[in-house]
Amino acid sequence: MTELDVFVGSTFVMDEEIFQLWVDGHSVETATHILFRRLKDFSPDYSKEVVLSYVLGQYRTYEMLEKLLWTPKKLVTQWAYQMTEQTKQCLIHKYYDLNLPVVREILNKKYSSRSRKDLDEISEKTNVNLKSCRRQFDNLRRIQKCVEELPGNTSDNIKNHFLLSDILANIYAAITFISVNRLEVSKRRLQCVSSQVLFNCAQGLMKHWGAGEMSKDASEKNRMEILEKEADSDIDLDRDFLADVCEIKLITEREKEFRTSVCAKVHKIIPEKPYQEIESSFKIFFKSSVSISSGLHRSREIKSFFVDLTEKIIEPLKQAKWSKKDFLIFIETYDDIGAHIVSRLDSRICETWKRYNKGIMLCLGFMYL
Amino acid sequence: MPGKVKVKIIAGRNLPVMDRSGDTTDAFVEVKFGSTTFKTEVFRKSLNPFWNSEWFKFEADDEELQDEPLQIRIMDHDTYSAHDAIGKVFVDLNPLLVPQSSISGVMEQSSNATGNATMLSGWFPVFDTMHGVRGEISIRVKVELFSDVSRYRQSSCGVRFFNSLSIPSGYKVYTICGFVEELVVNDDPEYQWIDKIRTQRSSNEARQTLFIKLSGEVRRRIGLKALELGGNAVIGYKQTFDLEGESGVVVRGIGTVMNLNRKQHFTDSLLTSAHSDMLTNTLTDDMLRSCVLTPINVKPELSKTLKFPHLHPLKLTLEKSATFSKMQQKPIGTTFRSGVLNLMKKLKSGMAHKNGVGVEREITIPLKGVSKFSDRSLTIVEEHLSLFDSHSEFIPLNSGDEETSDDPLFFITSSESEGSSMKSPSENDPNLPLIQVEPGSAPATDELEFFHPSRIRKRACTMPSLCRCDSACGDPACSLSLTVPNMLTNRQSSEKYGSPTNLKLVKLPVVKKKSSESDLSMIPKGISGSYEAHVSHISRQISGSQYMYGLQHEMPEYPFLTLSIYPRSFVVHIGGIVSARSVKLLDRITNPDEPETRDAWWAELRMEIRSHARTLGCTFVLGYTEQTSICDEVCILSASGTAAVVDFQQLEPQEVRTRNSSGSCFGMTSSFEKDKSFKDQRVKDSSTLPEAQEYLPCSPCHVPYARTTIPCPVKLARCNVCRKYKVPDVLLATIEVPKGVSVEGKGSLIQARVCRSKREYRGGGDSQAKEVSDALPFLEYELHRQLLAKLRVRGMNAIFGLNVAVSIGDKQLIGVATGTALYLSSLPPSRPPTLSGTGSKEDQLKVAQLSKKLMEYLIESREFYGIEDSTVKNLQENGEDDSDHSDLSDDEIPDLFIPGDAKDTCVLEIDDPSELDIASILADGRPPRTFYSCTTEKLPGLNWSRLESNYLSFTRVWQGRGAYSSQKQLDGCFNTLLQGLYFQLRKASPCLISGLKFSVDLPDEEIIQVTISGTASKLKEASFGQEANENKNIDGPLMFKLDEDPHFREKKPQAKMESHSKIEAAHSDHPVIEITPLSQVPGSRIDKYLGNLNFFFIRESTSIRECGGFSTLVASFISEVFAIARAHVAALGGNAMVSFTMSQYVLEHNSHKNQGQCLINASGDAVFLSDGSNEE
Repeated sequence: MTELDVFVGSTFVMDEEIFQLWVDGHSVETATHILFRRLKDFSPDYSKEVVLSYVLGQYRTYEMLEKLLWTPKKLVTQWAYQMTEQTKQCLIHKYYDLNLPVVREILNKKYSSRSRKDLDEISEKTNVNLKSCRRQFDNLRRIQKCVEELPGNTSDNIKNHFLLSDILANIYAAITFISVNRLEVSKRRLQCVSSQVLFNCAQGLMKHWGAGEMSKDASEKNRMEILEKEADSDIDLDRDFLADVCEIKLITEREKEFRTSVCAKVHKIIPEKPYQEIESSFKIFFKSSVSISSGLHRSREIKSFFVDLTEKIIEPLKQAKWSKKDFLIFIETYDDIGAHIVSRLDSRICETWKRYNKGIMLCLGFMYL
Repeated sequence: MPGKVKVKIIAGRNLPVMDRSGDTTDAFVEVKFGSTTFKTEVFRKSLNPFWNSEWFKFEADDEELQDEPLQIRIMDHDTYSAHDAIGKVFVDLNPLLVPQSSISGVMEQSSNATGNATMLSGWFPVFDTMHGVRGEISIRVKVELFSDVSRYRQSSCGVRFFNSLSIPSGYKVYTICGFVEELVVNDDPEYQWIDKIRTQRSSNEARQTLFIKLSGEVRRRIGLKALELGGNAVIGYKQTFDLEGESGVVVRGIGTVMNLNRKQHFTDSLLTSAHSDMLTNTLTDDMLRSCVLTPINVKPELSKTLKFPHLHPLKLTLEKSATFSKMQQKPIGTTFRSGVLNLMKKLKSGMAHKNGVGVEREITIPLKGVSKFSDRSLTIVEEHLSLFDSHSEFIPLNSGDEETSDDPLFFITSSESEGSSMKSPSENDPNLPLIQVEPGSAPATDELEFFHPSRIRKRACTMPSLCRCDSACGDPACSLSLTVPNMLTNRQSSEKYGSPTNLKLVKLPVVKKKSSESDLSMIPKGISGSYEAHVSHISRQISGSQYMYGLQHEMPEYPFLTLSIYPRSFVVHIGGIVSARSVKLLDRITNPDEPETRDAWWAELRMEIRSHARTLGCTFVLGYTEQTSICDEVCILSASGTAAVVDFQQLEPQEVRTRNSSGSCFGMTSSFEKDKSFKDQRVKDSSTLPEAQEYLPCSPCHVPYARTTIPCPVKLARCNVCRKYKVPDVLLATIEVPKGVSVEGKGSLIQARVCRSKREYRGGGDSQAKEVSDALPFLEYELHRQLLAKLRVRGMNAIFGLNVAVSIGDKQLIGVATGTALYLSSLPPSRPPTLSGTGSKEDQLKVAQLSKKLMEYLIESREFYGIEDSTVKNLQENGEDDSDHSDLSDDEIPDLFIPGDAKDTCVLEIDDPSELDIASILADGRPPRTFYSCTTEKLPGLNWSRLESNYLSFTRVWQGRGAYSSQKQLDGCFNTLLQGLYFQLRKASPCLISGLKFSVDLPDEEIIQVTISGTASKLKEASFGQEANENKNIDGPLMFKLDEDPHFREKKPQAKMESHSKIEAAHSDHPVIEITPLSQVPGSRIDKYLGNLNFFFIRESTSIRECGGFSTLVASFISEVFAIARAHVAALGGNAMVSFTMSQYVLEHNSHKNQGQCLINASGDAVFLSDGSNEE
């Protein structure tokens, strides 16, 4: 009976295959079985015992490394596991990699120990190992906890603190954005919206509506003021902007102008039949987009932002049989012409409208399927 | 050398959270050295504190500097209760105590003349015995040694230590001074009453600190002994802790003292001296030593004039100089060193003024008118001698011996001329001073020839020391020193010379040029004691030059060398493995200051080893090691080594040698490639000389003993290479394969294991010890039998790098012999073993089957290891050969060592069907085809340059519970472990696993612990392919399989990428620090040795289950030890640790109490590597 079985190398050599199995939450037995079966064909010399000992050793190492992986910066500065940069990146990347269906399920959970216990449901539903779900859950929780209070661009912050790749950092930023702002995404209506779409929308919103973003556009003087106040993170929506946004309902007066200009332009591009539909449901679109804006200063309304978009705009238009292509042409035109019309109004409203429209059109563009 | 230690604490990072409520820590640092403690400010609420403290200064004498570690403790400040410990960093100051000059050589030294401050700076892991590594701390440490010392105080500061088992690369050995050992005994705090009342943490720390101090003390004492022997370095240094439990702890150190210096600086300094009017201040001791040819104990007198603050106090007493006289080169150096120097000074200044013209006049200026010398040149000697007078307490050699002086003087002058016209050394040097030699003083005609420079050359061939020096140095001073050996060549004169001054030159075993056997037989006249006997005994094989050991005093007490890799042709003959074991009953050490019992125990063993070696006709024991195994009160001490005859003249590895032993005496000079023509001439000339005995590449295989003189008969045969000398049929050795010895095929790992059960220990220590000691011979016999059987089924005939370890446990004794088997071309091919069954018909059938299997295995092995089939032919040939020389082998009595070895074959007797598993034993342990494995540093038969890079070094620790008492179980266990190893490293294949070490412990009644360590190096792919092609002829289908192995293929590109990205990794926060148990790193060259590091760590846990089990604890502890070692290397400015060894002393685990404790001792040499290889 083996009491102790340790293999320590002066250099840490990562076995990507085993690490993947570990990350995916497979048990030692499963991993051994998989590896053994794979090896049996061309190196039959090795007994199962040997393979098991190897897998155990690898798993043990990963468990020891896991503590470092929680704070990847430590992984880079530690002495104990000498490894190449490549290996470090690979470890971090794999460890922080996400399983989208799982994330979709976790998205609206609070990162509490209670919801951690409920992960087995998700595991069952997504057919992903519980361990893997837990790891993803913990990663999300850890990143959010670290990044929540940090000023500046969240994606950059994540990159700096967790040494993730651009893509992963953006996803984590989006998830954190959704989570911090409690955006409702788990409603039945939204089930068909994929995680990726949600991330894109979230990124768009962070970019256009985020508080941190303001500082970039602001003049030098403003920037100083902002810095003095307290540097903002783009993870928080810009409250001032949301307060202002209800003012754009003033443009309802101009509905006719919008309609004629937009329709005229769209007509040139889109063939007659679909155009008819577009023209007839323009009103729904216009009104809904304005009405959504009017509630955004209430956080309750923000939470249901995606739901509102679906309910008020996307679904009616779909019923009206707008194709995605037409819809995209339409919103593009709408954005163009709208800016033109609005610019003739109050300049403040103009800016607000533009900012609002950028955000909402982006989301619609992604969400309209 | 007292010194000042300055410490600055800069910052910390990643510290643990000590204040749960605030998730922060209020850290401060305590710096302790000796009894002085300083503290930094408290850096509040941060896990990454930045103290940037002032420089804390400690004053200490050298003893303290060497013994005491610098202790840095990181604490969490607590206003109300006691401060909590976060962890500690121990810094060994020894690497900083080495004088700068010997680290970095001449050039740097002059720039660094004011002080020897060296610095250590970097991030160190903060280690806690209960929690492991907890964050890092950045510190800077400086040591400033004082330059002035009292000459009456002996200090070993500055003696360098190397774990390396070969001569450190980049260094040149002047002399090998001998074996040193030291042991220190102390109470183990773990077993004292105080341990019961303090916390685990403080108990562990106290123990750790004590062990570190003891280790420092052992090293310091060894350093002192090294100085006494006239060395400046200890190579092959090995330190061991014997945890004797109740009776305390014994820290032992053994090593080989040498006089080393950096290569290359010689030429550097030479050039500078030739081109500039160097005054003595700028002379370095490097230069001095190289000039003097005979490196000796550095002397403070000199150092004072020369301002070498780091040199050691001189012990220049007449008695001293009188004792050294045995060795030719040595005495000269010692006697004349001061004189030489002074003369040098004078000559120098003379040269400076007169541009090297009329040198002689310059020389004669300080002449003190010594009456008896009529010759001008003689006066130089006189002058030289008189310098002693003025300079030190030397009695002027009132010689008046004309004979002595003539030719030395000649050399003075001649080299003088060379020195002055160094840039154009022509044969017909017009500056050559004419020297009158009194007819009487030139006893031989050939000496007259010296008047012409070309003759000098010729003479040089016969007396290389002279010519080498004058051509190499071109410096008058050095040639002066050379004169002395020459003086001494004249024996009568030396005696004459010696008597009035009390110099005993009698023993001088000078080789006269053209030494022959008959000459040699005269030599022993001067050699005292037992060694005299030896000389005559072996004189038929060795020329007398071999007796110039370069040992300063008389023969050392123990002629042991701990190294295992030696320069080419150093090992003349290998006698075989010698070992001694003794079983002792531990008792309480009553007086730790006088550890007499332990000393006596080891002395006994060493004497036994020495006498074994003598029996084999060998003067030296190489690759000497000592081991212990302790179980309760019973302790087995083992010592082993390889008896050999060596040639000390072969220490200079660079030189291309002619194999003329008499011509190549005085081998310890620098090379002088500049002077090609000279060399050529020398070669030519030497070929014309009569040869006492050729040094052949196969020479190490030849037996140094006569068959009749050794008690245990061995079978001898004619050497297959030279067909002249006798070789044994099997050769066993603990060292590496000597360079140049021809090996056929590749070596392979070979291992024999034997387990014997014994009665359980029941307090009766005596009976227990007796039982063990009774069992030992049987165990060893069995091991040997197994080993030889395994050797034969591989078709091999020699084992190198053999280590036989016996471990004692409560209920059993386990012996494991591990080595590298190989096929030496000069030895007779091994005969395939035959099985002989005596039982029933059924048995016979089985036997036949097994025999067939064995033969298949043998053939397969031959193919696998590339031992050609021609050996079979050889075998037949040899068979005839044997009959021809039947007097050699046929009339032997049955061999004690080779069981059942009836005359010419290995017979495995099977008289019991249950023993049939012998065959299965034989069939074990062949690595997969993409692996080579060996216990040596280099795989015999594989070119070192085929190694691509160091893949990783590893430590595998395994403990199994249950019965491992049967042979089958034991073999199964080891084979599984080996398989596991290959499996672990499968991605590195094709690869070589070298430096394999196995150790077995029986920590508990039912537990067996096996530790395997070694290093894996990747082989260049081409080379493996090539290999496959090479072998294809023999083994087509099988080797093809290798190529087609998808696994093998698939991994290739990835492997390449990895090694590539290793370079990129240099950009990360910590530099990449290689760690290897070998003395070199493949694909790299060692530029600098930065010091020897030795660590002792204890790790304990009371929450094993919570932190992942005992394996996790051990694994993380080992990684942490690696981490700490790396941090130290980096702080010293190194990028690798070579000769790394790690021993796990105790790995205790009590699962019921959820507790575990581990002790690890690690050591190695910190080095700086650069690309390129230092293999010739």
